[in-house]
Amino acid sequence: MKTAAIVGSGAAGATIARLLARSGEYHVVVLEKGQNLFSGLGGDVGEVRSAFPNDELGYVVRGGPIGQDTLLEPRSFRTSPRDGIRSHVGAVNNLPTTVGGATVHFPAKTRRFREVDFVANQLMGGSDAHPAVAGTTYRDWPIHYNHLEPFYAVMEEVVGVQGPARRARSGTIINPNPCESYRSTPYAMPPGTPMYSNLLLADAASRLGHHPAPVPTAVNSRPYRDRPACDDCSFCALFGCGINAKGGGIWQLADALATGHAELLAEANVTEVLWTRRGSSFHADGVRYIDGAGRSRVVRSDLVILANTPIEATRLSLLSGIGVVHPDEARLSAPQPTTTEPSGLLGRNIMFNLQTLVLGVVDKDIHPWRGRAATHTIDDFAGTGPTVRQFRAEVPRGGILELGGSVNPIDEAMYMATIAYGQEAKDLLAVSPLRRHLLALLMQGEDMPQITNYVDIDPDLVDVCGTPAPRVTYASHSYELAAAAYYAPKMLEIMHAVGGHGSAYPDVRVVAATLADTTYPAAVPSRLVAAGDPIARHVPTQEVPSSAHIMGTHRMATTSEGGPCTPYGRYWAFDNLFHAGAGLFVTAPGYNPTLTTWALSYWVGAAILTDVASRARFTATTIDDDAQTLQSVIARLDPNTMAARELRP
Amino acid sequence: MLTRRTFVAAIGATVASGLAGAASSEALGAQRAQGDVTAAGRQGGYFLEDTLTRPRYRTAAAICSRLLPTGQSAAHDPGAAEAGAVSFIDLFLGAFELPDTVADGPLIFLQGRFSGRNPYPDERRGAPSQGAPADELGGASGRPRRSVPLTPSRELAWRYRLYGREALKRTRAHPQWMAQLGTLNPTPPPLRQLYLDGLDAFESFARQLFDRSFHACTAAEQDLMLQACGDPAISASPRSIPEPPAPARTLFPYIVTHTLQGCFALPEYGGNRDAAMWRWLGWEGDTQPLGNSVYQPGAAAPGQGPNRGFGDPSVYEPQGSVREYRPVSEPEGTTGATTGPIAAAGLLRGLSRPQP
Repeated sequence: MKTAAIVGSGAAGATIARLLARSGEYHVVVLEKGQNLFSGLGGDVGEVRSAFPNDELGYVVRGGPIGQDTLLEPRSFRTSPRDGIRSHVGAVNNLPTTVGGATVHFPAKTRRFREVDFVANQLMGGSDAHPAVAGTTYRDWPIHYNHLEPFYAVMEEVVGVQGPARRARSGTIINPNPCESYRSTPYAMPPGTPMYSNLLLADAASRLGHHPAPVPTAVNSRPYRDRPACDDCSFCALFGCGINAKGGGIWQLADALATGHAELLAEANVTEVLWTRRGSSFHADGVRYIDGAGRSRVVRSDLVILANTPIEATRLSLLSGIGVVHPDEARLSAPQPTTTEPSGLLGRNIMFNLQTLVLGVVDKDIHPWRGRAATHTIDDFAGTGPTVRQFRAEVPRGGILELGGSVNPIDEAMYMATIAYGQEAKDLLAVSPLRRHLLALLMQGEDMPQITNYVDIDPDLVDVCGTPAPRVTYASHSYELAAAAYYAPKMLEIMHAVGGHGSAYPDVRVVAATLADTTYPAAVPSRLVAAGDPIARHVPTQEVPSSAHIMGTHRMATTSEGGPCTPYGRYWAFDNLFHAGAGLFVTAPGYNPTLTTWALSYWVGAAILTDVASRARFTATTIDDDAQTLQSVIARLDPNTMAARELRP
Repeated sequence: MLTRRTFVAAIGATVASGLAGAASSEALGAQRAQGDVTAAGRQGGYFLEDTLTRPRYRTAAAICSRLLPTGQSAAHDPGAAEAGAVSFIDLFLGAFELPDTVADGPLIFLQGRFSGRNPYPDERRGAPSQGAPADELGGASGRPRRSVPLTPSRELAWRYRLYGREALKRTRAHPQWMAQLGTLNPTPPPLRQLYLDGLDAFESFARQLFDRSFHACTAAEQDLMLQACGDPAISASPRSIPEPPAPARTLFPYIVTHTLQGCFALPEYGGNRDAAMWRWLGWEGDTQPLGNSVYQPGAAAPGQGPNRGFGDPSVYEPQGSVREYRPVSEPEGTTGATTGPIAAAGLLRGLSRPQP
C-alpha cells in the first residue's frame, strides 16, 4: 500500500483523505498544525463529541482554541512594493488553525459556481493572451461546469447540503432559484427554518424583481448521516457546532479514519516538502514537520498533497525551494520561472471576494440572531447567467448578496462603548439597534486576478517555530471597485423597500439604511464580516481585505506557462506533488468558495486514483475524456449516492 | 451620568479589538515595570482579590459599576456590580493560577457543549422539554470549571498577554520569534501589570482630587475621573481637573472592554452572575441543546404568518416530523419608548463613518 501525506485537514485535505483512504490503495497521513477538539473520531459518528460551547467570549472575542493566533502565526501585508517591506503585521485573512480547518467555524454557505463563471473571460470578449479586463490576468478555467457538476453533486451529498432544489414525481429537478445552473440531483435535504430577517429582505428584493432563494448550506435540516438536525441555536458563524449538525471537513476525516487506512497527526506543523531530482523532473519524498513538543520529524510518502490554504501552500512551497518570487517591483509584472516551478506564477493572482455592506435598522424587534448566519441569498448581482446564452457582457459581475446578519451581546456592547459609556451606553444596549433591529446585505464581489497581487515570504517576520512568515501584497482592481459602486445603490434600494405598505410585512418599517464603508472592517459588526476570527477584525489598516475567501496562487492551467498546476492539481515539475484547494481557482466568482473547493478536491483525488493525474498535455477533448474517467471514481467510491446513480448509463 | 464624548478616538480600535487585539502604539509605549507581578501572582489564588490588596479590588469594582451602572432596581435593572464584572476580570488576570477547585486548567477557553441551563427540546411537541442535559462546563455547585487544555504554543501566547516578557523565560520558543514580540509583531501591553499600575493610578488620582479612596468617592466624582481618562479634551480644558496619571489613561479602554465582557459573557467565566445581564437584555443566552426553532413558540405554515408572501411554498413543505417550516423568529413589539427612529438613525450614521 502506498502512503500519502496530506497537509491540512480542512475542506480540501479531508476530502482527499477520505477518497484515498476509501480506495484501499493508500495509507493516508493527515498532518494538521492545529489541535484536535473532537473526541471519538474514527468510531461511531453518533458518539463523536466536540468541545464547543455557545461561548461568545471564547470564540468571537478571544478567537477560540481554533483561531489562528496572531502572536503565534503573524503575517504581513502591503498594497505594493512602494509601501516598503510591509505596511502591516498581524492578522491577514486568517483562517482557523484546528482539526477540520475553517469548516469548523464557517457558517457553511455552500454555493456552486455557474456555467458562465468558468468561461466569463471569453464571453466578455477576452482571450488568454488578451484578458477582457485590462490590467488583469482574467482567464477561462481549463475545466467547465459540466465537468465539475457531478463532483458538486456528490459533495453536496457527502457533506450534507440543504437547499431548495427538489425532485418532482416526474423525476425532473425543480429549482426555485432561476439563477443557478442545471443540476443532476436535488439537494440532500430541504431548506431549514428561515430567519425572519432574511424573509423581510427577500420579500423586499422579490418585489423589486430580484430572485432571493434559500441558500444551500452544509447544515443538517433533518437528521443526516448519524448527525442531528440543526436546532437554530444562533451560534453558527465563528462557532464550532456543539451538536454536530454542521457539515464540514471533520466528518470526511471521520470517514477516512473509519477505514483504518488513515491516521491524523494533530499539532503537526509542516515546515518543508522533501524532494529529490529525478532526471528532468522532481519527486516529493515526504514532509518535515514540528510536533507538539517542538521536535522535528519526517513523514516519508509516495505522494504529497498540499491541502492547506492558498497562503500557507504558497509559503510552504517557497520555503521548500519550489518557486520563487523576487519581489523587486520591476520584475513583478512578469512570471519568474524556475526548474521546480516552470510557470513562474506560484503565489501570484491571489484573490478574495470584495465585500460590500449595506446596513438597515427597522423599528421592530426582529431577533435577527435567531437562526443560522443567513438562510437566504440573492444571486441577481453576481452577473448575468447562468447559461452562456443568457450572458450579457455589459452587466458588471458583482456577487451574491448574503441576507441578515446580527451581533451577539458582547460585540454590541463593545461597539456601543465606542459611542458612549455609563448610563448612556446602557440605554443604547436596552434599545439594541445592532441586535434586535439590524438588517444587513453583504455582497461577496468577484475579485479580478492580478499578477502583482501575490504571496511571498516576509524577509524578517517568523512564527513561533521560527519559520519565516508569509507576506501578502494586494490591492483591489478598479473592476471590482466599480462593480461595488454599481451595485451598492441597488442594495440600498432593497433595504429601503423592506416592510411597509404593499409588502408582506406592512407592520415593519426601515428607519435608516446606509452603505457601510467596505474598506473599514473595524466599523462592521463581526458576524457581518466573513473574516473569521476576532483578531482578524481588528486589523488597524483600511487596506487588508476583510474577506477570508482566499483563492488563487496555484492557478490550474493547460500549459506550464499558464499557471503552477495542471488541471488536476499537480505541480508541473513534479510527478507526485499536488495542491488541492481554492488555490487552484482561476478566477474568483462572487460566490462562497467552499463547495467549489470541495468539488475540485474530489476532482483532484479522483485524478490521483486514476492515471489521469500524470497527464502533461491537455486539450478540450482530453479533458472531456478524462472527466468521464474521473466520474467513474464517484461510482466506485460513493456508489450509494444520487450523484452516482445519475452517472449510470 | 456620563455623556457621549469624543473618546472614541482613544478607545475605538482598542475596545473593538478586545483583549486579544493589537495594542495602540501609545499603549505599547506606556509599558512599565512596577512591582513584581509574577512574584505576587505565585502566591496562588485569584489575582486582584486574594493575592493583591483589597483596595485594588475595590477600585476595580467601583470603576466597573460606573461603566455599566445599576438602575433604579438592582433586581430589574442590574449593572456591572450585580453581574460581578470585577470577578470576571479577576479570574481572567489570574487564569493561570486558579486553584483546581475553581478550574481544571488555565481558564482561557471553556470546554463542553452544554451549560445545563437549557433543556432538551421536545421534538414531538415542538416545545422545551423538562429534561436538561448535564452541565459540561462546570462552575456550578462548587464544581471546577472545565477549560480546553492549551497547546504549548497557545499557552505561551496567553501567558505573554497576561505576564508580558516574563512569560518567555524558561521557554524553548524560537529566539527570533520572541525578539519580534512587541517590536515587529505588535502585542498588547502585559495585562496584569497594566491593571496594577492603572488601579494604583486611579487611587492616587482620587486622593489627589478628593482626598479619598476611589471607591469612597461619590458616583459623580468617579465619573469625572473616568471622563478625564476617556476624553483628553476634558483635562485640556483650563477650568477642568488636572490631567489623570498616564497609567490610569492606559488602563481605561481595557477595563471598559473587560467590564462589558464580564457583564455579557458566559457566567462560567466569573461575571454575568446568574445570567442576570442576559435576562436584562431579553436574550436567550447559550441556548443549546434547546435551540431557537423549538424555543420560539409561534409556528407558522408555508405562506402564513412571517412566511407570508415569500417564495415557493413547497420549499417549506413540511416532511415527517421535521420542523423546517417553523420560522425561528417573528416580530415582537418595540422594546420600549427609547426605540426611536432618531436614536437608531443617529447610531447608523456613526456606523457608516470610520472612526477617527
